Amino acid sequence: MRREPIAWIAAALALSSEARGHEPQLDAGAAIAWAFPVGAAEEGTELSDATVGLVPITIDLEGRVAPRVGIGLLVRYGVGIPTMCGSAGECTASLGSDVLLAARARFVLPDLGPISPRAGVGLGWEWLATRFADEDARASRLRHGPVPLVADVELALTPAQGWTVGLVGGAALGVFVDRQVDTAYGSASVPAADLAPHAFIDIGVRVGAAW
Amino acid sequence: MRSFFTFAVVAIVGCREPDGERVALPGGSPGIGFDDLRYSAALDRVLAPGGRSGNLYLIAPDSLEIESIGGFSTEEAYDGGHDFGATSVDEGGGRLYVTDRTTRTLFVVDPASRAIVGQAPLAAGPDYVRWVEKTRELWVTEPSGDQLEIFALPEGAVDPVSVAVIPVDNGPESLVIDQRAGRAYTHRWQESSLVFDVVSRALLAEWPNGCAASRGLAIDAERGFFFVDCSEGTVSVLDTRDGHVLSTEARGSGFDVLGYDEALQHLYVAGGACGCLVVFGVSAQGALSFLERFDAPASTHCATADQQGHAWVCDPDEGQLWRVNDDAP
Repeated sequence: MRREPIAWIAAALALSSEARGHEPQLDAGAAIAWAFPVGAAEEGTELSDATVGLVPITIDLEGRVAPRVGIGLLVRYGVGIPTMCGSAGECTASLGSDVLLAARARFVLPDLGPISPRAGVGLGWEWLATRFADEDARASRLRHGPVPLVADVELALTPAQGWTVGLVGGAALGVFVDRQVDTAYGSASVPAADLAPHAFIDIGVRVGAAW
Repeated sequence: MRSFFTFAVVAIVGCREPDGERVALPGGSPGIGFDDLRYSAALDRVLAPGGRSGNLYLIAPDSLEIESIGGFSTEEAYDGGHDFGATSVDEGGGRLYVTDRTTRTLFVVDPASRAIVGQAPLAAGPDYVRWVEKTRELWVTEPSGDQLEIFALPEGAVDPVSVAVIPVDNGPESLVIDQRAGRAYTHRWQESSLVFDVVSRALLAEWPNGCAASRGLAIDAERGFFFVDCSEGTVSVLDTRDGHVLSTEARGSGFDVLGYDEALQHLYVAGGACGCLVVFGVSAQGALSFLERFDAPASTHCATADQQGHAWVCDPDEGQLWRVNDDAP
C-alpha cells in the first residue's frame, strides 16, 4: 500500500513524455484560503491561543523541469484573526500576520475525468506575528522558524486553454526557533526552549495560468 | 515526545476536558459569574463568591467539603458575565468581607456563625475588596467611579463606615495589599500599576507593568516581588523596591485573576481564550520559568492557590470549580 502513491507518480511521469511537446513551461497561480491553527507555538502556548485562524493569500510560480513536474517558489501572506478583541477598532489593530516563503515541487497527476489533480511538496521558512490591542495599548509576539514540510493537493478544472480553477487543500508543518515579546516597556527576544510542532491546515480556491 | 503526542491528539480531537477534580457547587447550575477567588489561611478554606447564586462558598481544600453562606443578591438566570451579586471577598480581623455588585453593598460576615453581621452602601459599582490590617480598613475598588473607596471598621464595630475616596483615572483594576509593607497595589486598565501607602493613602509610584490590558496581580511580600498578568497572556515580575521588571513570560491568553503559592513559589494564571491554566515558577531572583500547562474550562478567567499544593480554577459556564494538583517542583 505504501508504494502506491510513488508508483502512481512514476506512471504519470512516464506517460507524460508523450505529451512533452505540448506542455507549458511555466505555471503561476494565486489562492485564497482559510487556515486552521494546530499544535503548539512553543511549550505552554498553543497556536490557537492567539489566533483562531488565518486568511492566507498565496502566490506561486514554477517552471516545468519535466512534462508533469514543476519546481518553483510560493509566498503566502496570511491575515491572522485574533482570539480576543473588544471593539471593531481593537479587532482591526489585533490582526496578526503569517508569512511563509517556500520552495516547492509540484506534480501533475493523471486526470480524473474533467479534474486535473496536482500535488505539491516543499519546505520553507515562516514568520508569525500575533497582536493584541486594548484601547491605545499594544502588545505583540513575533516568532519565526523552519517549515520542513509544505504539502498541498489541488483538484483543478480547465475552463479555458491555459487556465485552471481548483479546490486546494494543504498543510504547512513547522517549528518556531525564536520568539520576541513586545510590550509597552520594551521587547525581549528569546530562543525557544522547546521546539514544539505546529501546522496551519488550509482549504481554499486557486486560480492558475500556464504558458 | 509529549509535544508531538499533544499535537496529534489535538489535531484529531480538537478540544479537551479540563484537568483536575471537579468541585460542583450547590446552586451552581446554570452558571456563576465568578470573578474574585481567594484562599483564607486562617479559615483553611477556598473562598468563592457565588454571583447570581446568592452564596459565598467556603470549600475545604482537602476534603472538598462545601459550606454556603447566603444572603446576597440572587437571580435564576446566568447571563454569562460577572456583574451580578457577590463577586469579591477577603478575610481579615476574624471576619469575611463581601461586595455585592447588584445592591452595591459591602457586607461583613461572621465566619463562625456563617451569618451577615454588618453592611455599608458603596458609592459606585464594586470590583475588589481587601482588608488592610494595619489601619483596620477595607479598600474597595470601584472602577465604574474611577476610584478606590475606603471604609473604617474599628475593633468591635460591625458596620463599615466610608471614610475616604481615592480617584484613580482609568482604573482601578484588581487590588492586593502588602500587609507587611503597608502598601496597596492596583492597576490602571492599560500599561501601568499604582502603589499607595495605606496609612497616608498617598500615591507612592506608578510603574509600567508590561501589559496592554492589565488584569490580575499578587505579591510575594517576603521576597519583594509584585506579579502582574495581562489579558493578552503576558506575565511579569516587578521588584517592589523600585518597580523595575525582573522577568517577563508570555504563554496562553485571556488571563485575569491570578493565584500565588508562597511556599511553592508558583504562580497560577488561567485564561478562557487559551482554555488553560499555566503554572510558572519564580526564582530567588524573580525569574519566571514555565512549569506546566493544564487544560481549563473555556469560560475560565480566575485562579487561586490554597498553599497546599493545589491550584483552583473557576468554571463560570458550569457554575463550578476545578482543583488541580500541582506536582511541579
